Amino acid sequence: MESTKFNLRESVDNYISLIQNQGALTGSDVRELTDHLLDAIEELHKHGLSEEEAFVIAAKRLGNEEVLTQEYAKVNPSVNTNKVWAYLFLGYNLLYMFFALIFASFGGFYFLIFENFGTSSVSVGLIATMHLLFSCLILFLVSKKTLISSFIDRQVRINPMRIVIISFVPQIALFVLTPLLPITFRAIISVDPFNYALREFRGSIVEFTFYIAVFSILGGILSLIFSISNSGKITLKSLFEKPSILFLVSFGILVELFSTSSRTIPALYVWQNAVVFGLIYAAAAYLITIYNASTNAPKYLVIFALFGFVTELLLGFNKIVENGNYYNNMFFCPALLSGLVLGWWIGTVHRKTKLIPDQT
Amino acid sequence: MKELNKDLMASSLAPIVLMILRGRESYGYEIIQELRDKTKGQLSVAEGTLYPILKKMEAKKWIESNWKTADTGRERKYYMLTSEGKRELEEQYSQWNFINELIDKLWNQPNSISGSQLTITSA
Repeated sequence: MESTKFNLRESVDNYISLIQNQGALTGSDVRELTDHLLDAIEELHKHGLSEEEAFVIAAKRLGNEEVLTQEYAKVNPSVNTNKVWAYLFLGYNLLYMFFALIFASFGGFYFLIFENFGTSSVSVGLIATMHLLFSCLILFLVSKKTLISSFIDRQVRINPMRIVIISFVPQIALFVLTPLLPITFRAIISVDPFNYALREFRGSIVEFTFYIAVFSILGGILSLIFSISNSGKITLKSLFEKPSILFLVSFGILVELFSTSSRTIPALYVWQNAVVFGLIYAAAAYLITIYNASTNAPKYLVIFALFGFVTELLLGFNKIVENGNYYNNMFFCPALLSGLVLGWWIGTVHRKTKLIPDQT
Repeated sequence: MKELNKDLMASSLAPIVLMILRGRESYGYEIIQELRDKTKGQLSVAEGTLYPILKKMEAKKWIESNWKTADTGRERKYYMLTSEGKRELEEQYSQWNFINELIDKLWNQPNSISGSQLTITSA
């Protein structure tokens, strides 16, 4: 008995798109295969088979997606070439959109806050909160790496032209819409909004949370780059377990810049800044220690901290030479070393209590 | 049903398709039907793999194609032989004949090689 629920056209389209999704077919190939399947079904149907039975047999005779993709890929090398270009355009447009959006929304936000609350403590609180929320958003996006890439991949496979054209829309919109915006607003978007904020809200909290936002972007990019050869999701473990020298050095530079920027936090005494500075290093050292065998961790820590240590040493030395103000800067090298030891110690203890076996 | 060796299938399908297209222009499904008729349904091949072969031959300019509307109202891609394709077909036909004759000759001659091997192993 023929099933009333069976939709022939839908089943044919689904089967062909299953093959198409493998990415080796051109539009003309799709039409041809669809025609073939419909012809075959029609013929079998004439011989007394139900549409559903005819479909099953015809689809089996046509071949599965694996065989067909393999054969089509041999004659359609341009499909692959086009895909690479689709990814290149997409990558450029996405990055452009990402940064344009950040600049525009930061600029707009700073402007609105300034207009409504001036440079009051309310403004400072709001802006600092926004900076921190933004950092969380960046971390969230990086953790969704697999989801984002599989979405883009699917779009490129199904319809590369459509997704590439859509990706151009924000650029074109910005180009068309910017002249229509109020002149003050336009100025804020076009002028470096960060300098604007840092100048108008002369507060160290704004400055420090702003650095957190910037370093979250840099950290995000760093984790994306160094997880390229890892399969699966980005986790702290996948990043820090058996790190490459290049990763350690890059991470070291990032941590040094970040911990240095923490000196913008207002403090009564320099040693208070040094403590924060050391704690950031401790956190980083902890991450390196907990995910690596105890025999390797010290080696990794030395490579990681080398840049920061040399920088602090030179900076401190420079200050002494310049203005004899050695007192303020002599805190940071010891803070760095203490941070390293503290992080390493907590990491080692933690590793032992969690009974993580050492594997080299 | 005959399961042909994949490599043999790949190299023989091109001249077979050229031969089918020698008489008249045709479309994929019809070519498969003719293949099925001539072999009395004994040849098993994933039908969809015919199209990449047609594309390859089109790229080599042995055949050319154009879309036409069939009686059913559906559009079909028809393939026809070019003059270059005709030359290629004649060339391939003579090559296949040559191989055919060679295989025939070797198959029918007294089985001297395996015979001598037999004597060696029994010695």
